[in-house]
Amino acid sequence: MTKLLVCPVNYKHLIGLINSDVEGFIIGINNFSMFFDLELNVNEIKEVLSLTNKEVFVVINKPLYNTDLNTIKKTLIDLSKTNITGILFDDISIININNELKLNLNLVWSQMHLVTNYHTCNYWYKKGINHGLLSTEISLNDIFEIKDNTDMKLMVYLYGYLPMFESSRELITNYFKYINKNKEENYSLYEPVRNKHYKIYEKNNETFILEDIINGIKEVKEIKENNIDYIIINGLMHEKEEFDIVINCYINALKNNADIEELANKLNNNNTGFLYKKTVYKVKI
Amino acid sequence: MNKIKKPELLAPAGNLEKMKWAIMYGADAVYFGGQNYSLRANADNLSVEEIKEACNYAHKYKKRVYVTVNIAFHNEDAINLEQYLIDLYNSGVDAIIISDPLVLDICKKAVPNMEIHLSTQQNTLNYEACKYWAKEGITRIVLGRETSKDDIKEIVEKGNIEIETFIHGAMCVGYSGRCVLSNYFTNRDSNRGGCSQICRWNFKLCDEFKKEIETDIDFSMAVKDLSMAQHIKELIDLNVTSLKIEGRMRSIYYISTVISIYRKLIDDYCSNPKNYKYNKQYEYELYRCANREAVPQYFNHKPGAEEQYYLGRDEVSNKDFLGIVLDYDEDSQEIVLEQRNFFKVNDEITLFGPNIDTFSIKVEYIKDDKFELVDAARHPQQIVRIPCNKRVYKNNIIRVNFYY
Repeated sequence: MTKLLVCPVNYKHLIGLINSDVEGFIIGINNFSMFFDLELNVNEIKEVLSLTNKEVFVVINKPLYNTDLNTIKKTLIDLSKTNITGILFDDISIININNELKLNLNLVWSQMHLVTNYHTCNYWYKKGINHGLLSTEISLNDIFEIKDNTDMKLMVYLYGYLPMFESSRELITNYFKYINKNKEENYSLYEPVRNKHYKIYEKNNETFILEDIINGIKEVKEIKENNIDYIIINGLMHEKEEFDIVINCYINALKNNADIEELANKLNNNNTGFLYKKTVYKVKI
Repeated sequence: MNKIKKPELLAPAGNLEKMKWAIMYGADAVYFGGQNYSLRANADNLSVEEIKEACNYAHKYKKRVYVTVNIAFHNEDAINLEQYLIDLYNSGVDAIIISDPLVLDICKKAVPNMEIHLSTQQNTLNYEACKYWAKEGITRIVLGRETSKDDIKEIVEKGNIEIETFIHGAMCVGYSGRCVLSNYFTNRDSNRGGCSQICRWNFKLCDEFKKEIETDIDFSMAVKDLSMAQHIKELIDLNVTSLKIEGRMRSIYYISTVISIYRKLIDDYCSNPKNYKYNKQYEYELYRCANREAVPQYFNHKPGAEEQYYLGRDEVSNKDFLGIVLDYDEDSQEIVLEQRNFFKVNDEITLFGPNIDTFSIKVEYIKDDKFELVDAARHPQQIVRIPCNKRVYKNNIIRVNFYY
């Protein structure tokens, strides 16, 4: 069965979804998450867990420095005493802490752009990591081939802005300092050759760039047939109303006999990212 | 005072030729990619035969050879990996540098004695991550470039593993492994060696109404190069195992210049730590050979606008490299050299090399291969003679005298 995990836009939104047909949530945690609008502290997460029996995953995907480790240890210890479903992690330190402190947290391997093949899924599976969030830079065929060759439970990011870039530098702040102007809130990065705007923003003193929203609603049926365990849809930078339409479409798409064409028309976004496109790397042959 | 442990000076070797120059100019170890599985898919890279030759050559001089096997694999990329690792081991490779732990897995089975280092692509920034990899049999970690002096210090103390840090060369502006601009802009996979360096492009920044910010200066993410020349002493004191120079695609001139400077910095400090005095002049020489400013980046503070480039960088080709010494004629006290860039009579030139103290002279005359006087060395790879009363050696380098 393919389950739908939603990354809500805020706390109220999450509460409103508790009685919906989504199977679970992905929640950011204060100061340690990137690319998720909803970030809570440990107590708030506990509160969510007391309100719902749905699956709740917490994301800790920021790069971690020595100075973060004490807080991270404390957070992981606190979370290990709850019944959260799992932790999406990026930094390898989290595995070591989980092992050394015997926290028995269910970890989800989610190194942003590195979850790209089944061999490595199997490596982590042997290390006791049972879930993996696949990278958005691999094709649908790659995804199904991974599924066929691993016992790891797999998550596919099917809707939402696509994270492309993360820098520890404050690139927007630096630019405004250089041109001697005042920085405001919202900016886009414009690339003249492609005549395209990209979302760019700073958060926690780092800089992020996003690619347009991917929408794999037409692929839901095939993903279901191939027994992918989870579909993730992310409300990052969405208004609640706008994202609710998306959530409903995906809920319906997962039902048998869904009219996918009609749902796809409703969302009117045909960006499938790399689902049908392979990246290349050798330019000279 | 205890004797200081000399760190390894690790240099890039884009091909066999560059490797020989790196070793000649003072590298303790070299690294390069094979023809597959390496993050510079479009560098020359070495065949297994060449890798064998490289190892033989390096080991003759008691130097070490590391091969990068550091892509993030897609399903189909792992074909033949096992045989490749066996080939590397049998060629005498001293260690491989990996990023994807699938290589670790296959390596442990196929060639359990192979030494394995973890690439900067895994973006290791803390000691708990180091401890995980140490338990997995990794013996050395190339730290993420975002680490500061304090970070490195604590990691060396608590990480239970050898640490390698970059000391010179180009930088990624994004966290390594976490940037896929290249994938989305050009379809070239950054984590499989196809990075098209989108971060070096110029952009416009627009406000929330998609209106360009009013200024003549383009938005830029381009960062200056890294140079740790002024902090080599501190890195040695921190007990960093290996100091790494970036630049597998760089020229022989660049490699030789950069290595010889860091070789000197390391040797000067280690041989006489009490009286060590940093020579700031090196910074200018490092700048000249790349036409890029190089700064310490994250070592002492978080880099800001000062560590970036905004206005179009001067990308003119470097004409400082004048020639390579082929021979020294003791009788006539003449240097026989192969020309690399134009120079003429009365030009001021500088000679440097691993076995001489750098010195400068004026070109009193130039003779061509027929021993006839000419006013200039005009032709690439032309063989000419110039007078010099100091002994120089084959493969010393002749460059423009910057300080004249």
